[in-house]
Amino acid sequence: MDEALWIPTAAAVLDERLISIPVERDSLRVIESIYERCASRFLRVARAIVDDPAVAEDVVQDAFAQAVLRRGSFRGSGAAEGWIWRIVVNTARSRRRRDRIEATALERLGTASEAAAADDPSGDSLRREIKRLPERQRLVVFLRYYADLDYDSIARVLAISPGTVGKLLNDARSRLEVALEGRSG
Amino acid sequence: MSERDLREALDRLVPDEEPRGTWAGVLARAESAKRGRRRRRQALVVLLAAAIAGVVSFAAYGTLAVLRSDRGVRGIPLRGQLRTPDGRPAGSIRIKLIGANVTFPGLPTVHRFVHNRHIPVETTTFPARWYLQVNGVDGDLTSGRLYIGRSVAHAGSPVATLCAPCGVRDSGTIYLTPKQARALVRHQLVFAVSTKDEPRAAAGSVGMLLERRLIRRR
Repeated sequence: MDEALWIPTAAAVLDERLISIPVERDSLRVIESIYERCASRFLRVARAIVDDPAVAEDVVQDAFAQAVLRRGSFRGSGAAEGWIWRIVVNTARSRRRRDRIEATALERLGTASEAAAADDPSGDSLRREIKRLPERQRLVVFLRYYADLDYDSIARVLAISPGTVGKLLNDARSRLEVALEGRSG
Repeated sequence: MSERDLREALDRLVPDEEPRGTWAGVLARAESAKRGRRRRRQALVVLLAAAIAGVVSFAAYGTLAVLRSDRGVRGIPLRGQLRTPDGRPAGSIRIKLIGANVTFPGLPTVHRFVHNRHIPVETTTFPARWYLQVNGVDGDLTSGRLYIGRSVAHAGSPVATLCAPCGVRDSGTIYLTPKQARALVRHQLVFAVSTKDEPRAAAGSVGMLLERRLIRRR
């Protein structure tokens, strides 16, 4: 169980035997099983990253389609779920980047949609503070609180050390707590 | 503020929802992406095949050899004008002895460059690039050879075969012995192409091109 993800919360307890199976072996079944059990968590993280429910749905479907197509390239060096997390996070980040570029272009043309403005209520200090966080801190927060991943799993998904995960999370928490206290006070 | 407060606040921000998409949707997307990828791959294969066909057809006409410049390659250029037995011009043969130089006075002697990246020092042969262009000769060219002899009329036995069969625009590389290389720079070799009916359908004496830029005083 060294390489498999350990999920701390009861709701997210996974069949350890199943997720430890390398993707090469009966890979499609494993990916499907992960989708059936964890799609809502993937969706939640994707939504937090792209900040749009419809786009998040698209991202998760796209990411799983990529996983299906690229399952042969998975070397089985870690758990299948960790590998899929990486795909989902990277797909969501790319999508967010692309959407931002489009939004900037539209802004320059003076045709920014009103819907986009409505999605960003400036009164919500927590949301605002999350958006202000550096990207790595933001991702660590999402993977910790929305995906319920432990430090080691987050470290593997983001290709950083568990110590860095702890530091990023700590810094992010401090900033978010300030924002929350400001809102309640 | 506790960890639980932060978690609750974050939960309110992005509530847990069931996805609307299904596994069947994922598979459909994967299939569609696979088809797109296959189409792109097929287009790439077609492009690649076209490129290869282009290169092959270019090469068939000796065009690549003409396009490939040997100006940057150090060596001795030699040239021979080919003529048919009745004296008509019939093209040319160009040869470059790569990595070689010639010393005078007296009879020219061929040496290798001491520091030359084209041939290793221990090499006992001289690589020579040749470019052949033949026109006005009837029939297929069965061979192109170098013969001993100061002139076409006195050409003796063949010493090296450049091509067999030959194209009307052809090129290649041969490896000459020091003796053959020496004969070449001393104007002692003749090049001739043969056809089925004519053993010397076009021939010419091969000699050094002494260009000012290539001559250096010691």
